[in-house]
Amino acid sequence: MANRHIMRVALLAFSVFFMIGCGSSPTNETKPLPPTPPAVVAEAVLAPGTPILETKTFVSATSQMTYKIETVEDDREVELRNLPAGTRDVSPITASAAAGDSYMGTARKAAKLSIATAPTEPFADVKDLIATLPAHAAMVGHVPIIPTTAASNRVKEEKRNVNIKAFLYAASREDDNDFHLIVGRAPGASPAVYFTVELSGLPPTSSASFATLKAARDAFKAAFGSSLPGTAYDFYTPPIPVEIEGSLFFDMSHASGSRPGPSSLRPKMPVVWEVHPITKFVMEP
Amino acid sequence: MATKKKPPPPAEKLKEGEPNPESVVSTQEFVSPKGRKYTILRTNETDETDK
Repeated sequence: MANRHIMRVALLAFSVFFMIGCGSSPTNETKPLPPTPPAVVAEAVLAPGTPILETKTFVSATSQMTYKIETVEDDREVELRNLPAGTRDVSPITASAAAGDSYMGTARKAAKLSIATAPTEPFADVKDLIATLPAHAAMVGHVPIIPTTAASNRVKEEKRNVNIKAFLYAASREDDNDFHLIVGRAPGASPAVYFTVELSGLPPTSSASFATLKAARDAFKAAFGSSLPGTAYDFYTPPIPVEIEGSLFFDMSHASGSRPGPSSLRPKMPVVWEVHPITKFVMEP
Repeated sequence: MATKKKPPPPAEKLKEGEPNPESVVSTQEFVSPKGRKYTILRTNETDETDK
């Protein structure tokens, strides 16, 4: 799965685009596309004979010119694939693919980027918080239904804010720029239970939640410094004590089918409820 | 009298709260802002991409 992901990132980063005027163009002059500078993550030169993986065409809305886009494979992916499995350290590629802070997802975007208006309920144990959450079936069959569209906002059951004292066991950074944090009970507590809390990618600066979400994200980034997680999970041993505050969120996108979380913890993650977004992050409170 | 043969112990037992050993690609020491030391186990485990 990781290799498939790497390949996609690499292809995005190193896709080579050609402009070839076809028909409607007055000339067949070849010139570079004008991408926004921050969007350019790397450049590569297409060598003659390079295998073309995919060809698409599109017509410019402004000039009506027809362009052909040819995608080639990144040389680094070939080298990576040829390495023995145990030596594939992919962090340099994956980290660069998720370098921004803006939220890049769509599913339930309105809910993920908003903060509930409600008093904050304190919990000293993740297990106690989970015990208060509405049942999975009730949320899946919610009336009205909870859509996964971008405009899908919080439903009544999600209009709660919580403060949790927990331990950080693992974290990763998703392509949508959310940091997924897996928190749990104190080491040795039985039964072990884990729960997802997420630092959202940031909304537009004009958003009412921007300042709060940025402060929480900045606190997380400052605490980890140069040791932030990449797109694969980092585990922390011993688990790091943390204080998390934020709004409750039901992850309708993962209500059926495969669930998120690392394989060793997933069997002990009983709900797809999350704290999302995190509005306060404290390491070692 | 027949004796039961004990099964061999697993090569690496999964520790509670830690990743599958096969997924660990590297380790890194981490010192928190308050000076406490942790070990980061970097894995190759990823989630399905969120939409």
